[in-house]
Amino acid sequence: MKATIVIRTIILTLVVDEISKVYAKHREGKYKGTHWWGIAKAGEPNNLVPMSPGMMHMDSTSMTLLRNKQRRMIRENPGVLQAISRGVNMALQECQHQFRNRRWNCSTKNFMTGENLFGKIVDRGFRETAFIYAITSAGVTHAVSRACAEGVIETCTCDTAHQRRGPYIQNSEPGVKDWEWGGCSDNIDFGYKFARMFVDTGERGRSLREKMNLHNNEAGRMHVQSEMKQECKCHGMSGSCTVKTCWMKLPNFRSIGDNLKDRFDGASWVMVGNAGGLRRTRRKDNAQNKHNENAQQNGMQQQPSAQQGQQQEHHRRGGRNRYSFQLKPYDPELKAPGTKDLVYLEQSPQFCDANPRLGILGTHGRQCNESSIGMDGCDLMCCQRGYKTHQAIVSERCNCTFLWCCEVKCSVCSYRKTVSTCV
Amino acid sequence: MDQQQLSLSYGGNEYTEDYFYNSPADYYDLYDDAIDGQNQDEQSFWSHLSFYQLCTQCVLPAIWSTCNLLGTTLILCIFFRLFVVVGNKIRSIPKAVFHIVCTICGVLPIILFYEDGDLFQLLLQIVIFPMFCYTLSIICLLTLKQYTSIIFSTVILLTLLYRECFSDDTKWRKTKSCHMLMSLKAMAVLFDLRSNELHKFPPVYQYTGYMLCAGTIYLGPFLTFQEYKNALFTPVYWNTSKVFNVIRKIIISLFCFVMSICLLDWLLNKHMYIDENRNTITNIFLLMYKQALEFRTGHYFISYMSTVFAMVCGYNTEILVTLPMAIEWPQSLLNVVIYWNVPMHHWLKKYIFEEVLKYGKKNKHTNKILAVGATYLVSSLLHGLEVRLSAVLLSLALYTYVEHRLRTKLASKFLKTYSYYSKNYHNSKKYISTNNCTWFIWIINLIFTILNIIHLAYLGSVMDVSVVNSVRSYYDSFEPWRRVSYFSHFIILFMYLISIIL
Repeated sequence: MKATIVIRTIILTLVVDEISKVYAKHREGKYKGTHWWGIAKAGEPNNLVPMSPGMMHMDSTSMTLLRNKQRRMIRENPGVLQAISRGVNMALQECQHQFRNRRWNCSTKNFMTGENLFGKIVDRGFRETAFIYAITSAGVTHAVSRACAEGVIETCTCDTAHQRRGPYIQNSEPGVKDWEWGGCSDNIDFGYKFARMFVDTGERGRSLREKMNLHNNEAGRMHVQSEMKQECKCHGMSGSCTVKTCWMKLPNFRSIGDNLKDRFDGASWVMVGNAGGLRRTRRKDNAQNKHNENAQQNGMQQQPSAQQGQQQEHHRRGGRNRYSFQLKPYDPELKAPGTKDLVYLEQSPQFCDANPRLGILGTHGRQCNESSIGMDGCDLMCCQRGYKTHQAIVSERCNCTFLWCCEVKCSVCSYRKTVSTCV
Repeated sequence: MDQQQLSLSYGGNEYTEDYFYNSPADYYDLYDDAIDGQNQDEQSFWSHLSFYQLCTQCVLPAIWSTCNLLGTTLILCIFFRLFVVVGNKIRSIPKAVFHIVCTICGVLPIILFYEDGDLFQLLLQIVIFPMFCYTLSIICLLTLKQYTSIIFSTVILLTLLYRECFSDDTKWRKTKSCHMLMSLKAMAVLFDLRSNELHKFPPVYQYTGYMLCAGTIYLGPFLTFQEYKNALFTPVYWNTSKVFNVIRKIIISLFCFVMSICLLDWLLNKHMYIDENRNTITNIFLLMYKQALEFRTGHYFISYMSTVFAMVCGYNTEILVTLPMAIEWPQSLLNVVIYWNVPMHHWLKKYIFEEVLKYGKKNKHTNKILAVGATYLVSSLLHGLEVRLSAVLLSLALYTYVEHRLRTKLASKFLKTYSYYSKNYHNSKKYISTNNCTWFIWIINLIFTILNIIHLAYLGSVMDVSVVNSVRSYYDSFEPWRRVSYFSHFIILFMYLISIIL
C-alpha cells in the first residue's frame, strides 16, 4: 500500500515539475540520506572485527543505518564495510582537524541516541554541511581505493589490461604518454565508482538540496582522484633514469582535507530557486571531468555540443543522468561552480549560541587562544561574551624512546598551562 | 521497493527529540582523541600488504613493466648474435652491414620504449652525439700535433657538463647514461690511437656501430673498440653451462630490481617497524641503510642486466661488472670502489690515472695525489658534476685514502706477519688470510668491515632512486646527512688523526 503511494509519487515527480517542487519542499527539513555515516561509530567497540575482512560481522543496528542498495553493495563486496568505516572515521578526524579553531568544530553527536552522526546541521544547506558531505565522500573514496590496493576487498581486482591511461592522471603533462604500471594503479577507479554508488544512493530527488549534496559529494571524490600522484623509481648507470618504474599513489588524506578547506573558504552560494535553475550539462564520466571543468570555466561556448552529447546519452542509457546538472550561483556575476568547488544554499549562522533546532552546540566552554587574533582567538571564538582563564596541570607523554625490539617507552610529564575557556 | 524499505528503516523517526548531549565534557573527550590520532603517519605504500599481495601487486607488475624494455633488448641482442653467426658463414656480406645491423639493434629498443613523446629529438640526440664525437676527433687529429686526446676529452666532458646544467632535466636523465657511455668510448678510441693499441682511426660506420652497439648502448658496460670488433668476427662457443649462467644472471638481476622497487620497503617497514619520523639511533640507521641499499640493489640490477646483454651479444663472454658481495660485505672501501663498476674502474685507471702518472715528472708522491685528483674530477665530470654524486665520490675518495693509510700503518706497526692486502698476479688487490690467522686480526678486520657498512649506508642515503618532480635545492639534497650531523665524516677525520699519530 505504502509502496504504491511512494512509487506513484515518484512518477508524478518525474512528470510534473510543480509537484516536484512541492515534494522537495515537503522533504526539506527531514532529510535522511546520510545515515550510513553511522557505521563509523556503530561498529564500536567490537562489532566490526578489524582483522578479518572476509568475516565482517555487522549487528542489526548498523545494518538498519543502510539503505537496501548500500547493504547489497556491502554484501557483494566483502571487506568493503571495514574500508567505509575507516573512511568515515578518517573524514571525521580530518574535519575536526580542519575546524579545530573555528566556532563550529565539526562536532559529532553521541551516536547511540540515534539519528545522524553530525547532528541536525546536515539537514540544512550551510557551508559546513557542504564540507561534511565532501569530506565524507572523499574519505570513502580514499579508504576504498586504499583497501583495494591492499587487496582487502575481494571484488576489486587489479585490471592489468589497462595500463596506459591518459585522462585519469591529471598531474601528468598533456600529450605525454604515461608510464606503464600493471599494478593497482586503477584502484582509484574502483574507489571512485564505489563511492559514487554508495554515497550518492540517497540523493535521488530533484530538489536543490539534493543537487547540492550530489555536487559536494562529487567534489570530494574529485579531489581524491585529481590528487593521485605518480611515484617513480629510476634505475640506470650512475643515477641516470634509463629504466623508470612508476605507480599511482593515493594522496595523503591531510592534503585532501586542506584542499577541501580551501574550497570551503571559497565556496559558492547557489540559488534556491525554481527547478529551471538546474541547467543541465553533460557530465558523462569521471574521465571527462577535467575537460568538463575546463569547459565550465571557459564559459558557455561548449554548451550546445554538450547538450547534443547528452541527448545521445539519453538514448543510450534510456534514463536521465543524475549528475547532469549545473548549479547557478546566487550572484549572477560570479562564475558557475566547478566540479571541485563546494556549493551551499544558505548562509551559515554565527554558531555562537547553542541552537538545538539546528543542532549547534555553541561555543560555551570552548577553549580559546588568548593571544591569537584569528578565529581561535578568544574574542572571536567567544563572540565577545568574555572568557575565563585558569591554570591547569596538563600531563603528556614525553621522552619516548624506542627499545630494541620493538616497543616504545614513554614517561609522563606534567606541566602547568594557562587555559582560557569561553564563558 | 527501495523507497518502501527506506520508510521501514527510518519510519517513525520524525526528528522530534532534540539533540541531547550528556555533557559537553563527553564531546571534548572525543575531540582530544581525534587530535591524538592525527599523529599517525602515512606509511609506505607497500607496507600493509601480506607477502602474497606484495607479489601480485608489486613484484609481478614491476617485473612485467620492465620486461617490455629489457625483453626487447634481449631479443634484439639474440637477433644480432644470430645475424653475426649467419653472416660470417655467408662470406659475401660486406662488413659494413654488420656494423649497421648492430647500430639498428642498439637504437631500436630506445625508440620503441621512449615515453616522452618527442621522438625526433631523441633520435637527434642519440645520432647527433656520435657524429659530433666523430667530427671532433677528426678535427683534433688533423689540427693538433700533441695532447690530442686530452683536449678532446676536455671538450667532451665540458659538453656533458653543459648538458647537465642547461637541458631539460627529465629528458636528460633518460639519455644521460647513453651519452656517458658514448663519451667513454669516444675518449677511449683516441687514447688507444695515441698509445698505438689502435692502428688507424675507424671509418664512420665502424665508429657509429661501436658507439651505438646493441645491448650496451644504455646500460653499459664499457667496451673497448677491440672487444667490439672481436665480437663481430670471432665465433663464440655456447654450451649449457653458459646458458645457465645467463639465466642465473637474469634472475639475480630481476631479484635485485624487485628488492629495490618494493621488497626492501616492505621488509623494513613491516618487520623492522622503521618510521620516518622516529629519532632513535637504530631507526635512523635502518632508514639510511634502506635508502642506500635501494640504490645499491638498483645498481646491481643494471649491472647484471648489462652483463647479460654483453654476454648474449658476444662482446666479452666472461665479463665482470659488479660484485655485490664485495660491496655488501665491504672488507675494505677499496674493494667497493673497484667492484662497484669494474669496466668503468678499468677505464678510469687506464685512461686517466695512468695517463696522468705518465705526464708527471719528478715527485712521485705529489704525482700520485694529482692522478687521484684528476681521476676523481673526470669521474665527477662524467656524471655532469651532479651535486650529490660528486659529494659521494669525493667522500669515497677521502674515505678510501684514510682507510688505506690507517690499515697499512696498523699492519706495519703491530703485526709483521699480517699484511693488509697482497697484490696477486692479476694485479687486483685481494685479502689474504695470514698463516697465523689469529682472532685479533679477525676482529680488526671485522671492525673495519662494520665501519664500512655504516659509512656506505651513510654515503648512500643521499642517493635517491625515487623521482622527485620539483627540483631539489642544494640544501635539501644533503638533508639525510644533516639529520645525523655528518657523523661519518667525523669518524673519518678521527681515523685520519689516528693514522697520523701512529
